[in-house]
Amino acid sequence: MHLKGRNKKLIVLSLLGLALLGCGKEGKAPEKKIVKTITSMDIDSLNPYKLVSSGSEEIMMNVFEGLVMPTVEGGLYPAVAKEYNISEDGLKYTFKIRDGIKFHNGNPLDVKDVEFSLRKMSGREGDTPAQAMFSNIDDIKITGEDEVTITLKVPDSAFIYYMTEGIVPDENKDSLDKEPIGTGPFKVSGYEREQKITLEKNNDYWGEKAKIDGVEIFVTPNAETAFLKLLSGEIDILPRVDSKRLNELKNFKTISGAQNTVQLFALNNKFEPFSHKEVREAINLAVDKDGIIKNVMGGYGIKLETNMSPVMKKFCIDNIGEKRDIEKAKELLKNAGYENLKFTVRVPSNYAMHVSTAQVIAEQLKEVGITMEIETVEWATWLSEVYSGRKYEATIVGLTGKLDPDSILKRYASDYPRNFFNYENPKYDKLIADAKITSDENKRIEYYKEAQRILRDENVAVFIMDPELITAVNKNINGYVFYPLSFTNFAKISIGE
Amino acid sequence: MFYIKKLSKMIFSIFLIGTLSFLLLEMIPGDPASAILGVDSAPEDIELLREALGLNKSLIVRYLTWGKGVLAGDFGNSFKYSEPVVDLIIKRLPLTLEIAMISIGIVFLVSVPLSFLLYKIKNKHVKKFGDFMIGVFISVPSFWLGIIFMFVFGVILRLFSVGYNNTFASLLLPCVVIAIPNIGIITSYIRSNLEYEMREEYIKYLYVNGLKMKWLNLYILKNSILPVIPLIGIMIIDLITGIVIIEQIFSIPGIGRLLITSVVTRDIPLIQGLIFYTSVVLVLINFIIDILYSVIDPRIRGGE
Repeated sequence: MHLKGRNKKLIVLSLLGLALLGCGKEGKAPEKKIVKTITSMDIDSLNPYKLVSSGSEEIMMNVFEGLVMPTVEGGLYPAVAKEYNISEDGLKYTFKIRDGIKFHNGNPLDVKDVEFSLRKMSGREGDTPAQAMFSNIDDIKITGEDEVTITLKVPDSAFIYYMTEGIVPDENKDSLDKEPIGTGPFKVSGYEREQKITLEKNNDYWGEKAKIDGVEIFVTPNAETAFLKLLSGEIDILPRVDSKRLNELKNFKTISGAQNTVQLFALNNKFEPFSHKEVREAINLAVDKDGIIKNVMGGYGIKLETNMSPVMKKFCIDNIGEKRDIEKAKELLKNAGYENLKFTVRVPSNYAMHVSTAQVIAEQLKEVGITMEIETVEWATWLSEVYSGRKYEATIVGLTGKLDPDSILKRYASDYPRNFFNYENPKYDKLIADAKITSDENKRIEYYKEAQRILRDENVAVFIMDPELITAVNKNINGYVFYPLSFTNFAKISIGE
Repeated sequence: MFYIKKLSKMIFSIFLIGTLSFLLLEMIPGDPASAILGVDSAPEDIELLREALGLNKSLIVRYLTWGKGVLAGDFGNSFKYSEPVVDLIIKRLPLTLEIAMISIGIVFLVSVPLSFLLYKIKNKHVKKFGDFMIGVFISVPSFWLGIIFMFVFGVILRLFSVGYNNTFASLLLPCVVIAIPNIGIITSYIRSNLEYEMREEYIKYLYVNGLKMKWLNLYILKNSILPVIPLIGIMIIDLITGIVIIEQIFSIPGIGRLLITSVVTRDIPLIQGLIFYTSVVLVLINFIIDILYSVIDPRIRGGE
């Protein structure tokens, strides 16, 4: 027995020694500048017009470029088009094509490729349109040597945001599913389904070329495995780190940023007690958003008061500094006759963040005498029952925004088929409709701001926060930036000392 | 004749499984189109996709189209991957089979000597410890073990990669994790068989007739391993119809991962195809075991 004990000690010591040796290896820079990272889900397709999940776009926006592309601030910059012009009536979009752009296969991009791509993505070549929005296109025409004009059926100020859809070479029309050829700063050099996507620097890129030679993206569905991969040095960048595990990442740099998502506690506005404005206000007053941010996200969240994240700088209204007020909440409930309010919140079980939020809210509501039961449901069930079916009392979910404010705010319009809040307000509907057809940007911004004020003042839902994403990177990785949409711009990343 | 009867029964059950699963998938909530597109998509886009997937047609029409396809060996296209279901399954099969083979190999190579050793050891303490370890082997949760293994061998020792990376070496860790509970089960089973066989009359007879212990042991071992065959059969079925958790943890693109993705995205043709595949494997392996058994142990054929 004595000997055994000693043996054990020896084993433990040698293991420790090896562990220390292992730690020393971290931070070693690879010779060829390859950055390795993971994605939790494989890309949907290599065909840019068949990408549906935001996880796919996050990667493939490095490969395919649209006529315009998103900026870090949430605006657009001309990409394949060197400039564009929108007519006074908001119907005609004229794009001037940039000279000297080459596709990944070496062929130069010309106006015909653009015309083909636009026709392909809008379903004019016999496919399903890549975006339902494209059914509004009346006509696509080459109007000059380097000019394409799109005519819309009805004016739509959101249209330009959809022109980020990738441009592809027309000679590749039959093999879009197999050969991903775009014009972006990276080309796909290898793809093993459900396993690995390899990107290689495009040396002919028209703009600022990538600083690294390539990217390897491993498909790793399990978050724990991904975490271990970072610790073992197999990857350099780990997106979506749980804030509770930051203390395990002392040897890494962590970067956090808002993600243009609105996490909200939705109250079914047609459910009997919630149809009363006072009850909704009382719940809003009873919820302590700072507490949620602290408890659920470890402080990594930006408090919201309406359905718009501050990363949408141009469009978002300023916070007025709402405060938690338990006494007033109690009084409002008493006046409305709902002193012992009871209801059930249905939360998608696959989102730990929303489930935890529900638990925190349930505790907070207890203080004003409200009993909230928590029911977790599977995601697909949530989508059909709560989101499409609107069969729920309350729910918690995150709505990821796009660059165009219309796609964010129209969710509350009464004629929107997925207005699962069941909110109805003709004044709100008019603001959204007017903003869509106006071509005066300042006016449009004002409409959207007014709409946000209505959502806040009517307490349509409890707008909690824009949860920040945390990305852990090796100490030698620089230039990782967050965009207000899911996009990891590998071209900006560099490996330094 | 016996086998033909058995076979037709099994084909009928596969048909039944197919039909029932089709109806069950209809009943559970969750719309494939919205599951694919998610909450951030425009409802018009969801409608477009529903149409493209043929989900707007009636249940009977869809069932008949599916049934007709199956008879022709066509299981339709996956919603998510827009590729034929059969191709998707076949592409993943080699890797899954490889894992199954290695794991079963490990199980067999460890269990047989281990059970014999445990049976032979007379020291009470060691025996108790052995029993304890078998208990641990059987009850340790594999997802936990998988993560611990990756941490120890991948992060601390850096001997293996964390998760599968297309090399044979990276398959060993998951295979060991799969093998461990099975080693526990098979070892304890063979060992109790050994003890049972030892007390059989024929052993006593052979012993008093002066057969050497070496040969005696072989006899006992052979007769103790035979009853394990159905158990191994179940293990094989388990392994080649998808080791869901292990594949998820080790990022192995096998049948199990396909199954998870198909359920999460409500990829009905793919779920259907996988259920069909599973039931065929089940039937086939059972069939093989029956035959194998009757070849090895003639008493079973006699009992027909």
